[in-house]
Amino acid sequence: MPPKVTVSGLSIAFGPTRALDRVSLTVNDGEFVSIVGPSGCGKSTMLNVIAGLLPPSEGGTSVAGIEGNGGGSRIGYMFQKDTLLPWATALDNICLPMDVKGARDSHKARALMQLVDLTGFEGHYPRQLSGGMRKRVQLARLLAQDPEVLLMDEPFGALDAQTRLIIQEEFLKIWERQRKTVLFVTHDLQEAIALSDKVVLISARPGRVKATYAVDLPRPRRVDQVLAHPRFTALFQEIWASLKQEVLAAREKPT
Amino acid sequence: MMAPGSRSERWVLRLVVLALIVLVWEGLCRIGWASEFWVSRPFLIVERLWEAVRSTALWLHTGVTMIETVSGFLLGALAGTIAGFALARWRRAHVALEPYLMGIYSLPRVALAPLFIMWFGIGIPSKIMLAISIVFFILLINTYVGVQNVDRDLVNAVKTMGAPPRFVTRRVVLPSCIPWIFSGLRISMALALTASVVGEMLAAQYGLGFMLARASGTFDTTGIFMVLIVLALLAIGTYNLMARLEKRLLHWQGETTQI
Repeated sequence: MPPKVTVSGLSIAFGPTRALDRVSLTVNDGEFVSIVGPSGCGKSTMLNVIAGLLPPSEGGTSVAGIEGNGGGSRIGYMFQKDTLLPWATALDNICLPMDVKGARDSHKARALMQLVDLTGFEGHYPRQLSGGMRKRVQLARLLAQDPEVLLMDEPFGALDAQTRLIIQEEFLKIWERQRKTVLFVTHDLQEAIALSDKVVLISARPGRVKATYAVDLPRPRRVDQVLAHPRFTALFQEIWASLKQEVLAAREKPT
Repeated sequence: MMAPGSRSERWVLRLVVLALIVLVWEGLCRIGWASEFWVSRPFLIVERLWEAVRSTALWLHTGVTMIETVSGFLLGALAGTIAGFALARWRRAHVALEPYLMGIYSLPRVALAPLFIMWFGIGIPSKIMLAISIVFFILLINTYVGVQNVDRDLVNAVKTMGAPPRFVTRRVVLPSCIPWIFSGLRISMALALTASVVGEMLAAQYGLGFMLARASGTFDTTGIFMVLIVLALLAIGTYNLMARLEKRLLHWQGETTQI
């Protein structure tokens, strides 16, 4: 089977600054791949190119064998920032991707609200929800879109530590049932290892693929148990040793 | 004891202030420290207001001013909003027109009144045009800035769902401009009233501004104060109407300020 997402020889330059340098990677169907690297290494930029929001300077990307973002709503993108429409209720926000396709299904939307444990909050506006609840609405909206590939850019980064752990658990549970292809950008190495099948380490700018690690922890996983697994500790130390060099290197470069 | 800040306490406090003002004003005139000729007297004003309310003249003049204000406001707001969207949509038009628009915007628009009176006569149309000339630019600029300030991340999020531009405009750009448009509308309502009154003071046969000019011309201080009270009531009324409408349409934003 061909890979679901292919990034081949991708370079991105903003003026004289080279953000990404000939990055190639593939994500197989149903695979959960995390991308870690120091700040400013071009991780988010890469997701934007895959999503078709930014043109590549060199090289290219393809989704399901089609150049670019594959068209239509093949890609679901979850940003670190809140991207719920503030003027729409939780339910209307979840229905948004269905409205795009012209097929609103409020039964499905209510089922998704239940899946993310938000029954009773259908009529609430985003400002009336806590940060964790807003994330869950975004998750439900992403699932309502039912894309082939999920791009996630530090989706849980802005949450407090406890809420993050709970959302990670919930997300992992949902994902292990649906097994969608995921490309997940994060600063949090623990999160990357706990959730993924594969961790890709990007170097300090200009970002290159420095190494790829297979995460051979058994599934189904539970985040709290994974963190205590001896194999987790070994992987963490191995990847962190390499990541730390890049973080230090990135600090020395002018931005 | 009433709860602090309760509705009834608020109104009692406000009435106390009113009573104090009336008392001091009336008292100063009665003991001869202030001259009725220059500052009139509350009871004279109330008496005049009561007379005017029972006659048809006040209603006629108020009606004319309201017609001018509301027509100028609605036409100017509609045209300004559409022009704002058009300018945001066609960058070229914006680049070409910006200096001229800013030039007219910076001009004190009431200075156009003599020109409009020459062109459109001393009747209602010249006042409507004056109000339009003010409201149009406020809405033009607010709408334009509103479109420029649309959250790019929201637009991108909806785009990645495969939404066509039309959908993005309808579901993201338009709603996010509404607070900007409303803040423009709120200022515009007051300025449209100003425009009508100033126009009427310059040259008219009807309207509250005309009443003001006539009272001033005959040294009728009581008449001036009476018209000022009517104008204040109109302004407060329209402001509250706008605030209420805004609260209804922007309830997703939470609390907005209201007098």
